[in-house]
Amino acid sequence: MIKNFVKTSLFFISAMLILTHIVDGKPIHHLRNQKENSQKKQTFFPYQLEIFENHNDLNKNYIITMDTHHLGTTLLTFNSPTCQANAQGTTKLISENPTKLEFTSKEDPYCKITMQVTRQNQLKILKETIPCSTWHGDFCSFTTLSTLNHVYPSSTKEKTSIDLNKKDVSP
Amino acid sequence: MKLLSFLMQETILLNISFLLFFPINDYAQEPSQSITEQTIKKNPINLILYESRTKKSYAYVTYMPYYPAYGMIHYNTAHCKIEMTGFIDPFELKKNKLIISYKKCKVSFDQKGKILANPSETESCQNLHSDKCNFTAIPDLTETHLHF
Repeated sequence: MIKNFVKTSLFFISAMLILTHIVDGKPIHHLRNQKENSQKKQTFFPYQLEIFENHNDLNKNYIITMDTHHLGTTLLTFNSPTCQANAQGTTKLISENPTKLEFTSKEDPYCKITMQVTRQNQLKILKETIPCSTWHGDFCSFTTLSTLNHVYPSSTKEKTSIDLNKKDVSP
Repeated sequence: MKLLSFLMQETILLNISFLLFFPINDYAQEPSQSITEQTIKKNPINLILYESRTKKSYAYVTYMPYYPAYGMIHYNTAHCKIEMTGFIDPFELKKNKLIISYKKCKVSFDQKGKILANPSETESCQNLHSDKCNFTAIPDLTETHLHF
C-alpha cells in the first residue's frame, strides 16, 4: 500500500515537472543550456574595445579604435607619406540604419564622419562634412581611406558588430 | 718608462673613483629604454593597449606613442561610465609615466612592466564625470598583446 502510494506520488511529481516544461515550450536540456549560457554571459562585463585596421608597406599606422556595440569614444588615425588624417571624438548609431555609425569630432562638433560596418565586419568610411578638412591635408580625406578590417578582439568574429548594433537599436 | 707607469696608475685611480660614484648595479637596474620603447621594439605597432575585465567592470587604456600621440581611457561598471580621449605626453613616457590630457584635465598612470597602475587625475577632470566615480577608481590594467 505504502509502496503504491510512493510510486504514485513520484509519478505525479515527475509528470508535473515534465508538464511545466512542456507548457513553457522548452525541453529540460534546453533550459539547462540556457541557464549555462546566461551564467557564461554573466562571467564578464559586456563592453569591448574594437580595433579596425588596414596597412601596407607605405601606408602605416592605419588604425581606428572604437567600441561599435556600446558606442562612445573613438580615435581615427591615418598616417602615410602622402596623407595624415587624424581625429578624436565619439561615435553613435544612425537610428534609420543600424549598420551606419556617425562620428563627431571632439574638437569641432560640425565635423561628422559617416561609417558603415559591412556584413564581413569591415568598416567603410562613407562621407565626411566640410569642417573635417581641418583634421587632414588638402589632398586627402577620411573618405579616401580603404576599407578597414576588424582585427581586435579576434574572438568576436562569429558575433559581428552589425548583430550587436541591431541589439542596441531595439527598444 | 716612469711616464707610462704614472699614466697607468692614474687610469686605475680614475676607474676606481668612477666605480665608486657610479656602481655597476645602477646600470643593471636602470634600462636605457623606457617601457614604451621596449614594447614598440618587440611589437612595432603604434598602438599599446592595457585592459582589465572582471564580472563587474571593464576598463582599458590605449595610446599611440608616436604621431598623432592620441590616448583613450574607458572605465565602465554598473554605476559608473567614464571615457576620455586626449593627447599623451611623450616626455613623461620616457619616465614610464603615461599622461593623457584633454584641455586642463590630465589623467596619469605609472607603467610597471606590463601593468598600468596608480591612476590620478587633476581637478579639471571633474567636468568629465559625475561625483560618484572618477578616473582614480580604475583598477590595475594589464598589457594586451596586439597582433595585426
